[in-house]
Amino acid sequence: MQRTVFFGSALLMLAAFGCETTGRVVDDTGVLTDDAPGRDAPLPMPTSLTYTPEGCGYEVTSPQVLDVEMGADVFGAAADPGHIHVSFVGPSHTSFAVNWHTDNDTHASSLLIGTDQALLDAADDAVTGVTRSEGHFMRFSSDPRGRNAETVHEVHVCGLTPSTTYYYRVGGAGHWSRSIEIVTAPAPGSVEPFMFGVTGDSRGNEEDSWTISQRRLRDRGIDFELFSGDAVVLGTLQPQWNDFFSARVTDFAVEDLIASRPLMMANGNHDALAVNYLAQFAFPQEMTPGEIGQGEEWYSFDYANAHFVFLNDTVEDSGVLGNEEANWLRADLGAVNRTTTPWIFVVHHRPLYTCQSTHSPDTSLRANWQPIFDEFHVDFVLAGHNHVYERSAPIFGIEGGQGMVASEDPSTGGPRITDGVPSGTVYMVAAGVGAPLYPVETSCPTSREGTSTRNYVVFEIEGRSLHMTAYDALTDDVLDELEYIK
Amino acid sequence: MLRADTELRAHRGSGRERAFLLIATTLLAAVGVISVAKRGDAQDTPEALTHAMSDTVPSEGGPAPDEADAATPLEDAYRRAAELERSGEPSATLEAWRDVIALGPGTRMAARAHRRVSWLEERSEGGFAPLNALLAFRASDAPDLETFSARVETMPAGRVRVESRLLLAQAWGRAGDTDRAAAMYRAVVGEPEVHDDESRLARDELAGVLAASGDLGGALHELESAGMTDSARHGVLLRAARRTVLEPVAWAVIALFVVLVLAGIKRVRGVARAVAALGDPATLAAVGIVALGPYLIARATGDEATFAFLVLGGANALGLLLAFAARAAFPSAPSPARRALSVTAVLAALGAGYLAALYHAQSLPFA
Repeated sequence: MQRTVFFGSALLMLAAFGCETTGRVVDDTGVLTDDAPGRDAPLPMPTSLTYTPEGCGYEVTSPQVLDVEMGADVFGAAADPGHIHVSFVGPSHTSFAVNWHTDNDTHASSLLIGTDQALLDAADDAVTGVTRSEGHFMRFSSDPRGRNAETVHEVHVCGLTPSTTYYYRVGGAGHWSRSIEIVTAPAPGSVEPFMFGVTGDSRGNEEDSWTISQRRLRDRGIDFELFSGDAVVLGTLQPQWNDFFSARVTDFAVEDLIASRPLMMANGNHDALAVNYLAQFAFPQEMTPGEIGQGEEWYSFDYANAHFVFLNDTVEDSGVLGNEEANWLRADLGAVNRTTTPWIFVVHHRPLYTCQSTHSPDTSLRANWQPIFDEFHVDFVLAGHNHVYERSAPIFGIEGGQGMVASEDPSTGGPRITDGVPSGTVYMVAAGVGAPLYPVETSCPTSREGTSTRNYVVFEIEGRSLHMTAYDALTDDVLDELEYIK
Repeated sequence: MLRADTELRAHRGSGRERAFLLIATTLLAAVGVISVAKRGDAQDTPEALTHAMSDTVPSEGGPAPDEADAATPLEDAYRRAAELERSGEPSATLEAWRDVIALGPGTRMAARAHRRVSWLEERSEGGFAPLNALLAFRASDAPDLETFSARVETMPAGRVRVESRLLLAQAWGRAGDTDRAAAMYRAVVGEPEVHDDESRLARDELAGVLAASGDLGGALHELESAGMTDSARHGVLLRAARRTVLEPVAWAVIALFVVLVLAGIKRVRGVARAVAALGDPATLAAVGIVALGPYLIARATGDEATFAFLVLGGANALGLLLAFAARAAFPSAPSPARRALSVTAVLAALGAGYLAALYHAQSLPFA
């Protein structure tokens, strides 16, 4: 019997690793190829590129990839840009970044932009009223041997006018995408009203709920979207990212929203901070000690009179959470001028507070981060991981590892506001636009709302007033609302 | 469901308070803009702001940063439109969004206004009467399903009727009336203006309603006839169908093993040998790897589904232990009988693992 056990184990190992010895792979179209590097071929040397995009005043560093270069007008057979999506890297009121995907033979990484859509549609290069920006392209693969490599392009556009509608096209001469609308943020500290959406855990796209949530956010006219992680089941599998970017239903493709409104992501445990994640998104890069991912592991940005912080809670070394990352968080929040920036939102994946769901609350994160959230009176902490909708009572302070429920506004269940300062932070879980739904309860002392429903959340901010609405992603029914003024 | 506090809305709407708030925030924001400008960030310098764009792109719609905090007619129009939208007056909301577009073409706020105008125009059938009814139903704290169901039947075909039927179907399902829920989902599928994704969603939910009422075959047929064998629910229903066979088989195998052990109890001679066999370090190592290996790998790569790995690894290990013990404990039994007992032991352990995983899964929703 023992011999049988060990023989079985050996067979399993052979099955798992046997294909490595062949050097043969099945590509995305299902074709078996022999031209990929075999076991004896030298491993490709990862490389990176750092440069300052024209007029941006900040440096861009690529992740370690197979190949990265500044773009040139070279086109492959499938040069049409796909998976186009935008994000903030520099100041949100004057700049944005675009990423898109092509075949591996296309090197063109250019962008045309202007405020006159007809003029832009007619242009093949920079003309009066249309500006051209140049970027870089990267060939990346999660396979150390470089098999199944993909190419993504990235361009940064700076020097724009706040609160303005622009149109842009990406690609290169003769191979431009359709023109796409994008709007810049109001000036810093502006009290101009704005609106953003929150989603998370789209992996699997069950019931088309990732796609439907994006259509609903598009229809609501959001200015940008926050995503709390777990876009895909396994971050190293590019076909899943392709599904994420190219999902569509009837008359709507996800790209219709994310090519036009910035999508800001937190790393989830399923995303695994893979090179696929790092290469396909452009986020603010401010490398701090202990941080990897060219500084995109944790970052922040401002939009009008609000400050947004993204944290990574799925780190290689958990010691980072309470040290380097916490130090950065404290310094970042300490630099916020609360007079001109009254609102602070934090986004990460694993919830500090959640009630009787599949995953327990992360008490380690709670111990490391909540004192900082309390110190700087963070307004909302938005998480995912449990595929549910949840909203906590305002929480301030920890006793015996448990969060203390702070004073509540009796009519809204939200924080009580004293001299513009909220009594506590509201912790929300807003996830499940694609991943299997989980159970949830509201019986915990810190819980106020909870439902096992595919959901998305919209925040509307007008100066010092805030209106939050949680919606059923499939029916658009209202699940929860909260409104208060600072 | 928590609704917005009406007193708070009234507070926000108070003219004096609002004016004070506006002046205060304007002054504070102006200070902020000055301080930001003083920081001297490269991206905020005039050089950066005028980078190329100023030469080639007219900044027609965007207010300059120091003008952005003033309460402009555009902002007032935007706020009015947003307020109307929340209060559920689609006809007035449509006009208000059109005002925003007229006041600030090319601005960020006009971009949202365009989107809202499109959305409202797509739902303007019947002069907005159907949309008014839908919004009133949604806003109600105690929605009357009967009345709204009757109202939906009088609506003209269009987006609102499709969305109303989907909402009603879900509401009837929540109310426990599976027949009316199923009928409403079928009506959605038959709508002339239904989108593909809505049709798929209605079929998916209909299958869920049928399965919940015990009609597993009907639920599977609903999905398979629509070619929805790739849906998550189809997988769940297939597993449920298999369960009707596997669950009694698992219990039967466990019972058979118990019966075999009891039948041969008089022939047990080698308890000490069984214990000795189990105490062999190599055996224990092999069993340990089988029991904990998958679980530890699952824990290392994430904390989801670890219970399932623990149960299955444990069941496999238990099966091995029982098989070793059974063979060692009946030294006088014929060799084929001992082999049969060992095989039955392994199957019984697998059956126990299957049942444990099954009953754990049933404790979760949507199992």
